[in-house]
Amino acid sequence: MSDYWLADADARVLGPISFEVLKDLAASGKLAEVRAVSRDGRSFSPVANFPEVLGALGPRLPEAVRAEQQAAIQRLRQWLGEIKNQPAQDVFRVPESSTPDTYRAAFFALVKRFYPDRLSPEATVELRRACEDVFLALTQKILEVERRRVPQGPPPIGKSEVSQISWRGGSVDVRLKVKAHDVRFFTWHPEINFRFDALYVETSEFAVPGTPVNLSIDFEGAPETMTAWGRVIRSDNEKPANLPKGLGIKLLDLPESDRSFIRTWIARASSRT
Amino acid sequence: MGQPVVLIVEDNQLSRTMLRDALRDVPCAVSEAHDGDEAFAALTSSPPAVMLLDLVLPKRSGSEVLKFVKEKKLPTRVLIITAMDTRGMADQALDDGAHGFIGKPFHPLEVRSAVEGALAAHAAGGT
Repeated sequence: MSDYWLADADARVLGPISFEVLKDLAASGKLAEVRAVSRDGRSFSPVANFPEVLGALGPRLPEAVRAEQQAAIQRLRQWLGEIKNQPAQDVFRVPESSTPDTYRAAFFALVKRFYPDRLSPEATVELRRACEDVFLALTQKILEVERRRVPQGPPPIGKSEVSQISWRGGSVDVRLKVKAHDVRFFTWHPEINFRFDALYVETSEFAVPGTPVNLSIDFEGAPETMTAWGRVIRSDNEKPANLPKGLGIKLLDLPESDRSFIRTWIARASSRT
Repeated sequence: MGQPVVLIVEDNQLSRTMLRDALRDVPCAVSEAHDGDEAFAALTSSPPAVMLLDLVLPKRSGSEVLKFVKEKKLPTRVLIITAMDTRGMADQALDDGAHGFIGKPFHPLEVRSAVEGALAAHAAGGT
């Protein structure tokens, strides 16, 4: 029999799965918390009794490191609860009357400790999630500060646009030019927005849901074009009445660094409105 | 005739809430199971039209629940919703009779669209 059942620390069970699928999941980093294994789905033994499974999972963290990370998660969750209702100046530890640049400097000094891509490769999924939650909470705080700013300088010129849309085989190539002050693609649809890794682009093209989309996004002033891929999740026949015809696109496999970049871009643009 | 039932089998409360929200405009009645045993009980007493099934569950796994549906030839259409979204896992689930496979994090529209398709297939009696 070639099947395996895997149990995690909360006694949640996955299986039966073949050893090939097990290796596939392990290689994707999705089996970090396996604690027990069964070959019949009924009697489970510690994962240490299954050398082939241990081999597929790769080196395990020493208990001391694991305990340290668990303690860090608890501290982060507690701190998150504390800062939830604190004003930004208390969270960033600056005088309330500080300039926006002072707030930003304090924000970046604080947030870089929690940026998910900066965590060590040994960080568990739970620790990564906790850090991401802190990252989002701090981003929300700096956004509150930016919203209080009085707009300065000349009004922004131009708007974000779809600069190219073309079909290639069964997929669509879309190129966007995104202005610093205009993040409509990521925010203007009530459901298809970046909260769900999705965007809505204005076009008269129609594509059935599921159509692959290759995206190139030129952010104003950014040195490189961001590339991503996704699938159409809605076309124009179901658009809200106040939006132009367009395609709803869910981004897939978006790296955390790109997700973070777009979140920051949206936050900055929101602060200008 | 009452509305078709969609059973959410998911141990995480936040995910259950998000799935319920995703289905709020779909004409169906939503019920919940929190682990594999509850899913077996629900399937045995009254098979739903559609089941949204997590693969990693307390007590009995989602794969075992899926195999039960196949072995008993239940009319329930099963949509897998899981973070274990590798090609191998998806192929195995589809081979075991799943109607669809959605990776986490999911978009509400993906869920809604998939459930509407599964409900239509259930009503037509097809696959």
